[in-house]
Amino acid sequence: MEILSNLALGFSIALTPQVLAYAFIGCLFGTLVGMLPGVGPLTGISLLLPVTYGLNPTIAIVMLAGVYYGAMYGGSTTSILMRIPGEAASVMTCIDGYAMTQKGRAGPALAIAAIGSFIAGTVSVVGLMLLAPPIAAVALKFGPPEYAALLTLGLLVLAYLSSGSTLKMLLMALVGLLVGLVGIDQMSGFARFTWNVPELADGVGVVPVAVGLFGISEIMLSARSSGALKVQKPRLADLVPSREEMRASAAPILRGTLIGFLVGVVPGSAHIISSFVSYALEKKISKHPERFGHGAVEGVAGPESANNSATSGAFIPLLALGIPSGAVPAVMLAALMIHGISPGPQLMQSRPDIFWGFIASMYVGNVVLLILNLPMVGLFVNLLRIPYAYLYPFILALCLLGVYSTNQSTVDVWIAIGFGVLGYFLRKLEFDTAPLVLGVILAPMLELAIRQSLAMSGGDWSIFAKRPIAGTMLALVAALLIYNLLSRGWRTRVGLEEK
Amino acid sequence: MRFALLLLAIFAAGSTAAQTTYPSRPVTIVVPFSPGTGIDILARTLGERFSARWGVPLVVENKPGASGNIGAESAMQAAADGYTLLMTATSFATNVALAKRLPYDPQKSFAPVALVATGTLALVVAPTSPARTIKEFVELVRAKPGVLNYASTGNGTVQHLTMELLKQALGIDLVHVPYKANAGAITDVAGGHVEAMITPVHTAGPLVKQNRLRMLAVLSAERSPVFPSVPTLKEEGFPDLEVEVWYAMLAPAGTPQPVVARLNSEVQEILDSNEVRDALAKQGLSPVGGSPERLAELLRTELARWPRVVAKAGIKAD
Repeated sequence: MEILSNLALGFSIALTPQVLAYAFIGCLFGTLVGMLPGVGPLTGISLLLPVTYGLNPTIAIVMLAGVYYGAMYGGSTTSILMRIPGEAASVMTCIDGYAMTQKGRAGPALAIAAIGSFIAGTVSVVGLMLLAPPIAAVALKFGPPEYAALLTLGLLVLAYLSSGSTLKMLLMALVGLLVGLVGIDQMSGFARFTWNVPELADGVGVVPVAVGLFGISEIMLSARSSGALKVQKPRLADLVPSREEMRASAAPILRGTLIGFLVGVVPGSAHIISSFVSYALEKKISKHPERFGHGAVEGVAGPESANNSATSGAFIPLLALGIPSGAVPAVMLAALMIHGISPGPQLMQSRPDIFWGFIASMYVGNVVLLILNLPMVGLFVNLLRIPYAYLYPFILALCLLGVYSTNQSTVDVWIAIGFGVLGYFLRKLEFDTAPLVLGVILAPMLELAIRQSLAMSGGDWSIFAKRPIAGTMLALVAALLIYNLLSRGWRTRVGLEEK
Repeated sequence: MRFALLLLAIFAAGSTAAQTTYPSRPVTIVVPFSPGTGIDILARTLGERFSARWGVPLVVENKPGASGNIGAESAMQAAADGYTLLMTATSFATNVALAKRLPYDPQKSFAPVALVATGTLALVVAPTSPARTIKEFVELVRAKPGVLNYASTGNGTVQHLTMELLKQALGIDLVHVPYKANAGAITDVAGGHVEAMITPVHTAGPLVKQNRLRMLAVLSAERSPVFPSVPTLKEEGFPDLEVEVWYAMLAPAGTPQPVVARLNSEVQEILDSNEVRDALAKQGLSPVGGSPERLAELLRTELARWPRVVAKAGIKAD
């Protein structure tokens, strides 16, 4: 029962008006940051970081954490309404979320995303609270070979993306993987396809590519075919999810929560992978996988829950070990260290006010976000009533602004425009551009993890099989692939479905 | 024509005003790294004090990319009037050793303003490592040349080059495993996936205190005040490398001397305040200050050192 008294202490801190106010500011700012295409939680937190210098450390971390999970809520909004991923973890939501919007189900999609995020956020904080120390120890067992295996599992999602020709899908994935290889080779320092453009030295960013391929190409298509592709205007009655949609979402939300939590603990950009894995799983076990890509509510519920749950998972190594598992926790660590506080196992004893205040604030924050987001569903959906002639130039400007502000780079803006034009033609030719984006996301991470592993083993590939976690995951990947190849489902996807 | 004259008049008025009372409008300080990084926090810490003292805002502009080259280039191209400054770090000098073509010349394109702070680097290993001292570590590596690994924050970064320098100085062979950032690298050393790494003392500090990393030696001339029990290389009978990470402020070349002098004395006064000393100490940094010439001297040493290390180690990046 100690945990209850600790939690009571936490809530007594989290519910003080001042902490509550900053949690609200963080959540609101995060939601806005998440909605702005291209600007992700990292940029949002970094922008607010200097503001926290003068605040007390509990308030600082509560506000920054609010930005983090607020961005996960906000990221779904533009994905669903305009097919523009607010940040990389929302890419999967674009697929079925936007398809729902086209069918006039934008309201339910947004509501399910918010409810799923809320459930995932709350449940995963319970997990964080109860399981942090044992799970953190597992996180340390994840080295480059394990990460490579996890990314390979993420690559499997490609098999579940094709709604049309598999050949076209593989071609797109290949192009994506190649684009992902642009930049200075981390191992040798060799510049690959950078054309003497210094901005390309760090590679082609996911954000400009995703915003270009999804967002800008969509705007161009809509402008070109005035009317034909028009999104169905929502009616007021359509704002609330139907009973069927709620029922269909329940299990994916719970599965997404679990996946997000477990994958989120893994160091690196795991919250992105968690949304891929969740989508793949939902499509795999669905009785009607053909609905995916055409507005399946499970395709929104699963990944949106997963990416929110992953944010709690990501705090585990930080709070339990003092090790930041990625860029966002690293900035939060910096925020705490400025106040002379180092997170770790002693934090619970030495500063229970910070630790439990933070945990409690995450419960509070999720409630704040639900309250903030559910009533806004109606408002956001009504944006679709604005005539395209006014709405789209505004969105286009927001897209380019978001892309520019991430790195203050005009090269990124040109990349977004270039991929917008490419996306326009690809979609005219009925290529699905999602595999391309996935390739760009996964290629640099997978390549680095594989090559780090090989550097560790002196070039011996058996390192992937010898290490238990990596070996098990790769065996799972192999089993899934073989099963797919043998099963009828695969054959119909490969050829028979093509017309 | 009238419009052009008007513009000219405004411009002239602006420039005379600038000469008489610098600074009369907001000053931009370019930080060529992402928000939230150590250097960004440092620049904002200074910026806050500048703004308070001058009554004009000092705006931090983050221009990350290409190990700081993109930001340096943009600051170099700005008007040399003291309204655009550059805050930079060790990579400003090491990039010269690595790049075939650099958009800037670290000595000719910029006027040194002041060396702001330095940070101590340390060699750390996993707590499970059999090496308890730097001597044991060297023996361990010598027994298995080219088998053990070290992590770095990326190819061509200070942490990578410093380890190469250490390898050359100690005659040991370790295999490089680059990471994208410090967080990933340090996690994998703590997890025992990679044997060792060189990292700033303050980033390793909390983990060392929890016995999740073991700090074997510091690379500076003197022991770190934060870890007084950790020896220097020299004390253990190894060559003195005296490598530190440093942070400095520069202005575009041609910035008027009085402006540079004014900025230099401001930096010095800000660094002298206890409040700033404490803020820097929390980040594991030691305030330095000193004349612009001191920074110029440091740049000369660094620019002579790193090309030799890079050439000998056969490192390449462009």
